[in-house]
Amino acid sequence: MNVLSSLERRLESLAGPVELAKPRFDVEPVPLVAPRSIDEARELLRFAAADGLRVLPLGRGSKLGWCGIPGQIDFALSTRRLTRVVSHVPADGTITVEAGVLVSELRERCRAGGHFLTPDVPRPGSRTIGGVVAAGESGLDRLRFGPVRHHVLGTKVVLAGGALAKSGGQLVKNVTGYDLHRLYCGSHGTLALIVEVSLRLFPEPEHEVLLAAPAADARGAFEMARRALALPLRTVSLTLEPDETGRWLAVARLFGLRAAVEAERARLASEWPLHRAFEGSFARAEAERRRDAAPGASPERASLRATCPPSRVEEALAVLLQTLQSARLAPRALVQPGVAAIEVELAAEPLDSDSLARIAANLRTALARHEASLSLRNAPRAALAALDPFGASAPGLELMRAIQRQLDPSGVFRTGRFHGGL
Amino acid sequence: MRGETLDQLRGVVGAAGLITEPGRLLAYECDGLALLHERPDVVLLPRDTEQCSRVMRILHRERIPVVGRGAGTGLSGGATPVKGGAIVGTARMRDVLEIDEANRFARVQAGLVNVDLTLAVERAGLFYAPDPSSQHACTLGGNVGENSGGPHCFKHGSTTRHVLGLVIVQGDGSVLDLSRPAVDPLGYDLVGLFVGSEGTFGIATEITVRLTPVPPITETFLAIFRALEGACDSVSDAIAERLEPSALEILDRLTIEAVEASVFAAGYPREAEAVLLVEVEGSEAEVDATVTALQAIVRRRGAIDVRRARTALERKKLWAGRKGAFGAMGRIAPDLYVADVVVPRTKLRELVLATTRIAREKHLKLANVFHAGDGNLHPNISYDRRDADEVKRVIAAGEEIMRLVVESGGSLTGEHGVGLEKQAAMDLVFTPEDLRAMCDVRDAWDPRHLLNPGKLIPVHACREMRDAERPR
Repeated sequence: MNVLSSLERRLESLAGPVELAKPRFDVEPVPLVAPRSIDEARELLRFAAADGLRVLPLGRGSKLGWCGIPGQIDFALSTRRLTRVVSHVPADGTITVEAGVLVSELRERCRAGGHFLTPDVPRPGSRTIGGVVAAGESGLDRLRFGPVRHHVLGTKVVLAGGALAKSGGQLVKNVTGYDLHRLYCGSHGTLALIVEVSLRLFPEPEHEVLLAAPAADARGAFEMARRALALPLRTVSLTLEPDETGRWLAVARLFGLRAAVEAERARLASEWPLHRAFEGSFARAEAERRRDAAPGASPERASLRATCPPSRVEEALAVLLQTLQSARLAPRALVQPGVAAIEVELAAEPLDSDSLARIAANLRTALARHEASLSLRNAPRAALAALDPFGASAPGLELMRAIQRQLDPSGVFRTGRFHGGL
Repeated sequence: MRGETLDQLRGVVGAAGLITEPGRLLAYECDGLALLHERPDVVLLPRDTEQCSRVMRILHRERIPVVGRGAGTGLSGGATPVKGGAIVGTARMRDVLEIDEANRFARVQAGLVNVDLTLAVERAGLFYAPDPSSQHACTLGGNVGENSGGPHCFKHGSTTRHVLGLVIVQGDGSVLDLSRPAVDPLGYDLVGLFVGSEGTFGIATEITVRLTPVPPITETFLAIFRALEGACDSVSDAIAERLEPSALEILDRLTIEAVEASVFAAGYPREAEAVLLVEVEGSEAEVDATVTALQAIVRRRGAIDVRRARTALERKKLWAGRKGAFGAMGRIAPDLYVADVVVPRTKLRELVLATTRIAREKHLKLANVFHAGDGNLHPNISYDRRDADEVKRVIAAGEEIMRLVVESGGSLTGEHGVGLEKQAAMDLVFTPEDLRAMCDVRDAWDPRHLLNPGKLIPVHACREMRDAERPR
């Protein structure tokens, strides 16, 4: 009898069937267990702490590639069977669900109650809401709604050792106790397993319009973005992207009350005289198609993400494209000028990991001169050996380690995947 | 405190930055929650991060507990001193350090008064959105400590959504520079965690905040009701219909009477049982559509009149009445207990009426003025602290209101913080495991428990804190 099978049997006795899975495409398979209740999740984590095991928490695993290569993992724990809607109060504009609910299902549920769910993340059928919160993943709608961390009203987490701990609640305003949900949001499962999330909802729009306007080059596209951003519009998203011929497209999404959207559309159209417009359900379908195909949306493709002050996006993009093109990496870019973020997806063919690591390291140095920082997503294992995928060293790393030690003294979630080896 | 320690502290902040005279210390005995007071040993007023760091290093070495303080306008006892401790105040740190109009942020010292930031940036068509009623006195550092709100936070969100960066002096005097705004935090979101930590994680000395563009159009109107229920139901309807005004504020009859008799008189009709103050911002089309829908709701819910502010001056006056309401209550009795509970917005009417009933049963005068759109109630009880029996009844009423609200799915505080006042009630909301996690995070920031000790988390919830030797 080998060790693995006895572990599997133990996991099965605690939380049902166990399968062998590769949580990332390039790591060894590990036993994966998906508890059917929060109580089962607590049992699993109690067992892990007692036996000194390391656990990889995940939803559907779509963003594990944002992190570094984990050290030892004894088993992976997925929330995908925790799919209860705990409380949905459309008249209060709030919802609480278990972490394993798919974003696509949550979005439909909210829409039925008259609400729009932010963040509008790509491929919502392959993402759980718990995973989105754990990764701090915002959508292209961030220009209008802000980052996801602003709309998480509260969480319940299971800590290493099995304790169930709540912070916040299902209230749109609340300062009772520490905002530990802000700490868990974006922590990539390195502090606790998020099992329940409460969110603030926004009105489902009455009307929706998408305008797409061409520009001869990047400079022209940025000029169009500047003109759009100078208008007093409540633009949902504004993106710039090049096509294969080197021409650029600026795309703006507007939604809300019908009269307001029509007025905003007229203002924007006067700044973007040459444009193609999509309306109503066509606008939504086009926005969702673009969202799901956008650079950075696919967990199978390596991508780079640069962020900087809004005034420096254009120069940061120039640095990125110049470096990548001269390395013949055929990048596909998407720029969010208002949010100040650039996603660049690298070509599909296998990359030489060493040169990717070298290019990324050089880019990080070059971009720092423009106050920009760079993260790597879905990079091949070898490229991460010498590179922290999240960025250069953050201030406060020692404090972060102290927080992690306090919340997880037995190191159950300490797999070294997050920034600075957290 | 040893004379030698005082000399060292004086060496850092100078004679003007150190207060030990009993007469002057009186001013620091409490914050806006006058029910609880304690005298500190010393008040220190550093001028910048560096002085603050040196001061904290000395206090840490001597194991002297530290309470951070902005303007002392807090209402939960968060800045009430610890016996035998030091207060580190930001009163001499009021500079605007940087305004970046292109990237819409400002970096300021923590002692800057809230409204002074908007005054500094309004010529650029920008403003700082969180607007506590005390914004003419309260500081941004205090706002960060408490995660303060205000009427317009209904649309724009509380302080935490506007803080982009911080410089924090930690308990041992080390400086954590998180001032550079980032699209997403690198590592854990220490800034987001710090906001609302009520001085238990460190002293924020510099704050980087988001600046918001002034909306093209703002429309303000007052809906007048013969019954408080109609005003509450209007707000519940507005939320259920998913309307997005920027502020929804209710004032009841007693508040209206106090305001109208005061220097803040706003022209609220004295015959009304309640008024609903509504503000809508945005584009013309957006404002028109939202105002039309809201006015239909208030009429349906029994508003007897709707008065629109026709000029900027009229708007200012309507808001002066709302923001001066707490001050105006001084006309009713010498002291005011301002409760600060949050309720689900589907239960506004039910819980507002219940708080009124609780006060009536205890023979107390209760006035309601609150951020209805957020479900953030402020049942205000007027009392005289010289009347010991009345003080007892005020405390009992406050506790009963908190219990009832929590049972109905609400929370203890929406913007004033837990402080000393609501510490014992934390057990109503949180389990020992919840509180344990909070204690663990606190221990990471402040292993010696010298930062605002005895606040926010009940002592019994924190094993180390309970067992710790009393500092001093």
